[in-house]
Amino acid sequence: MEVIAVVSLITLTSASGYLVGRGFLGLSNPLLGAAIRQMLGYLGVSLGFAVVNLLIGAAAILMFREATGTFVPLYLIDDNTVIVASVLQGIVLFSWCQLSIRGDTAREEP
Amino acid sequence: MTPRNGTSRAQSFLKFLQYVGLGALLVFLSVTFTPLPNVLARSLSVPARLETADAIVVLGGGVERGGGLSAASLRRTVHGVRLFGKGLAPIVVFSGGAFWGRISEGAAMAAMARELRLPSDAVLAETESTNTASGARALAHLLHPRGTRKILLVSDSLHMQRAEAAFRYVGFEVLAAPIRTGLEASNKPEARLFLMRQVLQELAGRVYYRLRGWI
Repeated sequence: MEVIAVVSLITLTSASGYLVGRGFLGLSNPLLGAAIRQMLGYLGVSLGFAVVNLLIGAAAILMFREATGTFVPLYLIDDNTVIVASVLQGIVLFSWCQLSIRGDTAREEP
Repeated sequence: MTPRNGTSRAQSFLKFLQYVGLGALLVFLSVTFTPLPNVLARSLSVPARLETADAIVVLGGGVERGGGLSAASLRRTVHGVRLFGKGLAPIVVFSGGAFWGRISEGAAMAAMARELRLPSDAVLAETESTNTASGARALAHLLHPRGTRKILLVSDSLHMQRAEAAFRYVGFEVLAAPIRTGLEASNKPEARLFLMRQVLQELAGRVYYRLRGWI
């Protein structure tokens, strides 16, 4: 029941967003595909940052334990703000790449 | 590096990230909207064996900043007291050390058990361990000289397989008394996401324990 409710809600708002985009804002269909690919790119780089953040955090804690003999729990880095920060980091890096590509492309044009 | 080389490298990187993102999205959808996490959680669970034992061992699950028991520690304490009330063992041992200057898990759970009318001479606390494996070693040191070998082990069901292995490794005969939190059977997408996180943490813990030679 919960799954149906959530899926129905997301389907409804996505369809509404599409209608607003096409009807009210006059956005074109081909660019929707590019926008979805861009969203996937943001998601991919954010996932990368999340994995790196967690691996580096865990490695730092384990090395600290070995070096000092002081116990520090791994749960120290088990915090949802790491995920949020990873998303922000991902947005910055992905946008930086895109803007750089556009800048280089503009410079190459006669 | 010329701008052209840098641009094509960045473009390849962006394309690669889009595939990673697609994979992440598919994983997210399968975790939240299918029973995959529930199936994985069930594969980690251990059936309960509620038989008489030499001792009931309750593993700590955290203490809050103010000194109160976390939800995990509280439900484990209550379960241990209930098992004692059924006459399954003569003593209950609460296990868990202290972090950041807080009261130890073992001491906090033992205090709660006494408040729940568990007789003081039936309560023991181990207060030095920092994880499941060190708890198993500490309890072997504490209980084996008393002739205590067969234990009813109380912990959350996702944690039980690893805990059981760690205690068997140090020579205990373990009867599992797992606690099902209800999360394992939940259909709510958010709950499945949280359950998957716990499953992955537990799997990572097993790999780490195997590498350290603790199970």
